[in-house]
Amino acid sequence: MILKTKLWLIISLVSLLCSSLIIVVIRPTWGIDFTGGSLLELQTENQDIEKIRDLLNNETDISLSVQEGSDETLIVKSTPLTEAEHQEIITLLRRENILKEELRFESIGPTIGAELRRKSLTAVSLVVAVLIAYLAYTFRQASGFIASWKFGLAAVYALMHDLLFVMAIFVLLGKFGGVMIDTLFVTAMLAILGYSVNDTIVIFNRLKSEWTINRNESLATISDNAVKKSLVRSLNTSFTTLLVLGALLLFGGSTIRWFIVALACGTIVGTYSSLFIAPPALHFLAKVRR
Amino acid sequence: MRERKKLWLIIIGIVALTGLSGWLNSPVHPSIRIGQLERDLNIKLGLDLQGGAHLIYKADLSGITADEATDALAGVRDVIERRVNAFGISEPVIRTNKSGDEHRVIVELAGVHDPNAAIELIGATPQLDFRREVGEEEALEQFNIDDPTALTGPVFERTQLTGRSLKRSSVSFDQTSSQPQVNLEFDGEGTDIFADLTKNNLGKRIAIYLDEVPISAPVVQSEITNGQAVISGGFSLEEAKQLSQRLNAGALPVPIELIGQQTIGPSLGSLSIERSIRAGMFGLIAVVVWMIIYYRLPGIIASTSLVVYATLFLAIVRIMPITLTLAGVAGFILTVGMAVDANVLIFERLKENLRLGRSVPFAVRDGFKEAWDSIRASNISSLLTALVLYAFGTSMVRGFAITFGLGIILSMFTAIVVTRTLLTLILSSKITQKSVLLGVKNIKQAS
Repeated sequence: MILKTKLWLIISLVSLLCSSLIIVVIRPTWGIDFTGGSLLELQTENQDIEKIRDLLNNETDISLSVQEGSDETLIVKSTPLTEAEHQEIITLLRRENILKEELRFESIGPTIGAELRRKSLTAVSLVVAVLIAYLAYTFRQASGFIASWKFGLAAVYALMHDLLFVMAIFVLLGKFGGVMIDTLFVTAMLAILGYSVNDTIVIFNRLKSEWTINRNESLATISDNAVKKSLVRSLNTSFTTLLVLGALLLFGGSTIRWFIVALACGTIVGTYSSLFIAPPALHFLAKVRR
Repeated sequence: MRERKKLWLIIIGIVALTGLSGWLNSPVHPSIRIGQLERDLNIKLGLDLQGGAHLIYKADLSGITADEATDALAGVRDVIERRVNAFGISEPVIRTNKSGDEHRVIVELAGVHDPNAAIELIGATPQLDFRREVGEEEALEQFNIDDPTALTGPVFERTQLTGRSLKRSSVSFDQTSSQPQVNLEFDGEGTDIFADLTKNNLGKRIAIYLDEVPISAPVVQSEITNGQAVISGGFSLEEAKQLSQRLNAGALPVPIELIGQQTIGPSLGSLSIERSIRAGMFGLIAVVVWMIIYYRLPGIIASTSLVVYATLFLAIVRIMPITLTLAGVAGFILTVGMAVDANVLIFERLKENLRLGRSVPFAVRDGFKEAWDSIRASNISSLLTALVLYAFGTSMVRGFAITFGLGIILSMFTAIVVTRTLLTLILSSKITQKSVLLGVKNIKQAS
């Protein structure tokens, strides 16, 4: 199944490169929590966006953009607003009998945005470092077979693939569907991170026990056996996770829609990478001279 | 036989624990009171789920030394808390934190949907201070000017007496004009300063400034030693009451500036929680149905342990209490996946062992042992992830990390204890060792 390790590795490299290229070239559509800015989500009485846009642009000095949100709401974006400016907009909309309800208002200064970016990046990098160390530790008995840090490296390679892949999908969604990369998306990435590594460890563990039983087999055969025997379990686990996510997507509110989509993408690509990226990568690393 | 007795005891324990948790989760749940510790055991929802305002303030500490910073921040927090409490908001969460060189105060007001009033209330710094009139000659000297006509009125100079020396304030009515007025009562130190001030300025005016604006400037008739003063600035009753309340809450030790805010309206919040709960229920039901179809009898056991898992999870969320946010719900969903995974791992190994021709009791025992290795390794890595995220993450990430971490520990517990015990006990009977119940052909019967 994964005997053609070269082929799987090339596929993973291609997808990794494509994802990185998409992220670098198209660039993510950052949410206001990362860039700083204001977002106002409103339930309105009438949905004539043009009229509202003209009204706001003519009657206030604030430069803002007006978009249609999901579930017939209106989203007003701008640079960070002061509370006075925020009230100015609300009063104006109320006066014109447009505003039904103010659903959400966020205003985030640029310093907080930069800080959130930095904090998120620190947390993710630390998790990756800790995971490599833990995998090296937990697979130490297998070191007669493959150097234990290579397990960590292979798992992280699969993990990076997953994170970049989902990020690339959201960069595309941002470009063509206005989906923003915000702190909720970062949470989804963390969940994907947890899922992907979890899944990979189970496969590697199987690989280790296969090797313990049959030490004479070649590494390729052992990995192949491990993947084959883990296949049903991997598919079953990701299927049940997708069942829960599917229910949330169908019946959950619109606030978490893209969050669930990110988790679902991560579950699918995470399952794939544990089966077809991590073991070939481990195989490749094992063959490299120490 | 002793083995069986032990298994039954564990099951009784599980049933008792689940029953207790189920009771805590039911609408008739009790509240806990042990000494200082009080819990109403209601689920606490984060601002993104129940609506409310999240305000981030930057404290301007430029005017004070580094040693005083901690005290000043604690002071800011206390003052904001008093002001918000006066506003009638239940359980405000007010935290201070430092990020880089910036000191912040974070205010979370659950259930406040028009935060404008709250923002005004928090931001209003009633800076009260008393100033003495400076004589013309002294003023000219001070400003280094020669022409007396350059002065356009009386000059006032700041004194040591400020709102900080205030003990309490109240509203009363002037006996002659029956106008509302605000009474001030100074603390010990304030009383002394005020006595000195009035003694040295007999016949001159002392101005009372509120937020840098003079609101009244009475002439000192006599030395006042009882530490009491009155502001009669032509207030309406409402204004007088408000001023008195604000003065009682105290002034902010340092100025603060609103640098970020998030407000979630009530309908968006309640909509997302209602829908998420319903969706989560449907998701769980789908998982249960799938597990039973695919794994048959073990599937029923897995579903039981999944229900135990969800019940215990909710009970702990209530007891701790953990504030549930959207990110927290995500952490929970993910751990449902992991709880199922632990069962799937056990069952797959069980099936494998059965296919290899082992009898049921051995297949169960070895299957569990083999699966446990994977469950432990993968869950420890997830637990480490949760710990790092909790330690270094932003507040949203923390909300995720805490439910994720709790879920991992609980899912390990239900896999080891609930699934294993039920599996061992139920499959020890010959009646259950059938192909149709286990989904494996040609099961070897134990001799």
